[in-house]
Amino acid sequence: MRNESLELLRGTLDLLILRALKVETTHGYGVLRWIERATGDELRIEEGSLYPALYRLEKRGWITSEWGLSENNRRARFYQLTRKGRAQLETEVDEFVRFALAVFRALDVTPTPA
Amino acid sequence: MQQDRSRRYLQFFGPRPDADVEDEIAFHLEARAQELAARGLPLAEAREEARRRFGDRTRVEAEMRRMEREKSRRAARLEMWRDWGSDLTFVRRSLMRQPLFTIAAVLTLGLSIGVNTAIFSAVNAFLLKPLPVRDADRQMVVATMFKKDGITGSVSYPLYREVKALPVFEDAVSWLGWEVALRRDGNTQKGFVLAGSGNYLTALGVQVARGRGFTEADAATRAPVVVITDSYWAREFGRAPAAVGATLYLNDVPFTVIGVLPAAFTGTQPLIVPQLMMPVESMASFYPAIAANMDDMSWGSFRILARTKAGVTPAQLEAAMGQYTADLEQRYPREMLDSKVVAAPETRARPDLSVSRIVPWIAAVFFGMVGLAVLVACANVTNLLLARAAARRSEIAVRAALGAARGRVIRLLLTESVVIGILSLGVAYLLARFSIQWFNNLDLAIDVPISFGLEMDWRVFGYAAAISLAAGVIAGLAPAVMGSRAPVSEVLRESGRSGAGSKGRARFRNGLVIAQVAVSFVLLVSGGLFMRSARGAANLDIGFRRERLLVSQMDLSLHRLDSVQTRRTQDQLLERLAALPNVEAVGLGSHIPLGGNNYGRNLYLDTRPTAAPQGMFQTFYATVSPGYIPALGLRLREGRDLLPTDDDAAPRVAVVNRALAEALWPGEGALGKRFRLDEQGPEVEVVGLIENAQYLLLGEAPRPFAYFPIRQSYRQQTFIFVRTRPDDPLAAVPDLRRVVTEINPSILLSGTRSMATHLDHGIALFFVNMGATLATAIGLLGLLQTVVGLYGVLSYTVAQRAREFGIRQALGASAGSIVGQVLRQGSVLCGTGIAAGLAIAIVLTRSMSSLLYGVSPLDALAFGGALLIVGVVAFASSYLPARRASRVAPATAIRAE
Repeated sequence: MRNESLELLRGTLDLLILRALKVETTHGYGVLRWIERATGDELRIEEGSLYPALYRLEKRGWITSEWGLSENNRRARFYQLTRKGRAQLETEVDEFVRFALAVFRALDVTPTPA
Repeated sequence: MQQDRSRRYLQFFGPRPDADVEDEIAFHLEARAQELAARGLPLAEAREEARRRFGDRTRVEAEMRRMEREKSRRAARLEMWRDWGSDLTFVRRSLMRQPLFTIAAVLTLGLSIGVNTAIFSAVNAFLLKPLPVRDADRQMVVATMFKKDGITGSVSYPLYREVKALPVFEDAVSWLGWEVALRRDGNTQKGFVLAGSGNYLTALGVQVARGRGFTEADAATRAPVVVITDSYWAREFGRAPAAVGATLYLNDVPFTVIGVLPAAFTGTQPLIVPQLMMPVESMASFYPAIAANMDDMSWGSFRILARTKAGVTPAQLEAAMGQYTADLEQRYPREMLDSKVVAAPETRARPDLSVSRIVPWIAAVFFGMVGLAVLVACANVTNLLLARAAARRSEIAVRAALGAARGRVIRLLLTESVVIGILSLGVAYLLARFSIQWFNNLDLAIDVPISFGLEMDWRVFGYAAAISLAAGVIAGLAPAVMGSRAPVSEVLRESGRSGAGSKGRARFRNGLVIAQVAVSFVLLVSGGLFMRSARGAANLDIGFRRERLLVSQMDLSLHRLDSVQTRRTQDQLLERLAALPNVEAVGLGSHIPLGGNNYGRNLYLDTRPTAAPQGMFQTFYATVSPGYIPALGLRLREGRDLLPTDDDAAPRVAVVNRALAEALWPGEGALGKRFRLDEQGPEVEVVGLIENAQYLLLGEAPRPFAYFPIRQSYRQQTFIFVRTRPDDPLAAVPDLRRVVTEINPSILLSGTRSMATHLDHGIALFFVNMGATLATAIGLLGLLQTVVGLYGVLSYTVAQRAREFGIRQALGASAGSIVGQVLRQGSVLCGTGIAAGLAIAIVLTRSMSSLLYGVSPLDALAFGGALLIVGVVAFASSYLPARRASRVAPATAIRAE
């Protein structure tokens, strides 16, 4: 049960990371803050799991990283969406929407904007 | 842009994945804590909360580290490839910018490595490549050997059975080679059969490619079955599957083909590729006497390959053979007279145990020569690279100034020479392929189907590749190390001036040229010695005359003639040939001198001379017709030739050579002396004495030899010797064929050739001639390289000293004096090289003496010739640069300042 939700969460997490980086090039904490803000703090992400996810995405070539200076002049690692990542984001959004609509149909509910 | 920046950043700090992970997490925790603190939480609590929210830091950090390390490894690899890539691009550009240099370097290395590889392929085929049989490393050749001169002989079948049962061996096979008249579809040709013991194929672990192999069961029933070799299958059947089941006639007896051997297995007879293999027992259907011969301890026609038990040491094997020899001497004193049984690993017994002792010597000499040739080539490329490195010093200095590490520069320069090495591998490969093909296609004047089996297998290619890479590294090492040592200040100081370069470097280059000259000199001397040796061997007193002599072979046993028919055929042949107007003399003989096959037997003496205290004396012999001695041109010293009247009805007679007479009856004169051929047999009287000749090996010590009349001992396999009146003996071939056809149209003549061809292209002189050809080729290669080397160095010096020469001329020096100066430099280098080469050659050629015929290892002509050639070549290759030096326009040189 818990395993399944983790799996689901992980896929979703990747999607949200890509979406966050589409907005701006930022460090891990910036990504997290964007997700928190964008979801109205609804999704509670285990912060630790964010970083392995970032590394994984980088390995797949969807994002790249580079050390730089943060807003408050600290050395931080900045992540940037690659062209491949941008394409991946589009596909994943499409798939997620199809998935979500299918689940809604099964549950016989109509999605309403939050 | 950004990529580049990140790379430099990474490079600057170097990869430190663990610290990066820690930093990243620390940044996150701090950022979260700051935010919480901004919302009013006390800082300590805010930090606590941030850690709580982060979760299991240890686990996450471990995972991140793992991935980060992997990433930095990937990056390092990528970086390395990128560096190689840029090095290669640089090398490609620089090689293409100076195509002449590139071609010279690649050819210089490629030619010598190619020759080297070709030699290695021969060594591989002759000495290294194991037989394609099971446990090849444990297969031993077992043979009898004369204690006196190390000549090995075949063994009898009873001896094989005993060897097979010896406790040191696990199993053994035996075989003999046999010639047959091979008929298929009405077309008869001479064939060569390998007749093996029943276990021949199974014990050697040979899997047939098609059909089945013969077995002990076939041997037991004397089944008329044969397996054919792959080459025969291809040639005669076009690889048709229907070959299995086909009928072949061997001496008119039908045999069924039961299988086809794999291409890799051509039997165990060194160098020979038979057409067929069969159980030796099955020979009974066309050679009834074989059964009796297989029980005869004195019928030595077999060879043995025995597999030692695992773990048997060479010492144990030798001890076992010694013990067995002692045992045999007790039981068979006659058969084992002056002989012992020896065993040697199969690879050490090619092509024959008695010759195999000098084969590694030959290999060593040629390897030494080609090895030197490769080193000379390396020296040349080194020199060319050095000259270029000097020209590129400013470029390298700039690289160094921009922060390239010295190791990096060395790597770049080495990459260049390694690339040259790899390109030269291509040249070497083609050359070696070509040489191997040429060698395999050599047509030898030998009576059996021979194959050298040279091929470009993985061993040979690997060798070529290793040598090429090594040559690339060796040639490039010194230039790379020296080239990378280019301090910016020095280069800048020199810029615009054509400075003379450092003295050390000049000395190094001069040293290389001296070494090249020395080595070329040594190579030329060796080449000259081999050439002189080939001449010497051709002119050796062989005891008979090679000119105007036609040789052919006939084997009446192939045509199933009885003894009466055989005698009549032989008589008619001699009579009719002798009657031809262009024939001076004609004879038949069982033996052709220096043909590889020889027969030995015991003489029994009633009065025991010191040379034969047991009353037995081993001699080689031939069975010959009247006329054989004059036809061959053997020199009769005393007494008479054999006569037509020396037949079964007449008293037994023999003609002996001087070595035999001197051994048995020293100071007494041999004529009228007597011996027996069987202990109880009739006495044989010596009626003639001839001068010693060469029988087995060229340059051998005098060997006892006896000639017995063919009419007193029956023999169907004979050589025909025709001494012609015209200069070209081959002119008599049509006559010979006509006469033979008139007597019996079915008689096959084979191996028809002139005696000169037999000697020059047969086994007698083949290796000597081959050696001369090879040695000369290697010598010329070395010479060519000396030219390149000397010319290169002098041209380079001249270019560097152009300004100096210009000034000298401006100050009034004559062109002649400048030419003289450069020539002097050339001749100093050359003279030093020759002096060194002379010293080396004097020491080295002594070790070659066992391979030389009729020429001293210090032969004046070989040394003088080499001296002359090197001298002339040195002068020629110095002269061009010298002339160039004398033509430097003073104004140009000074303007260059």
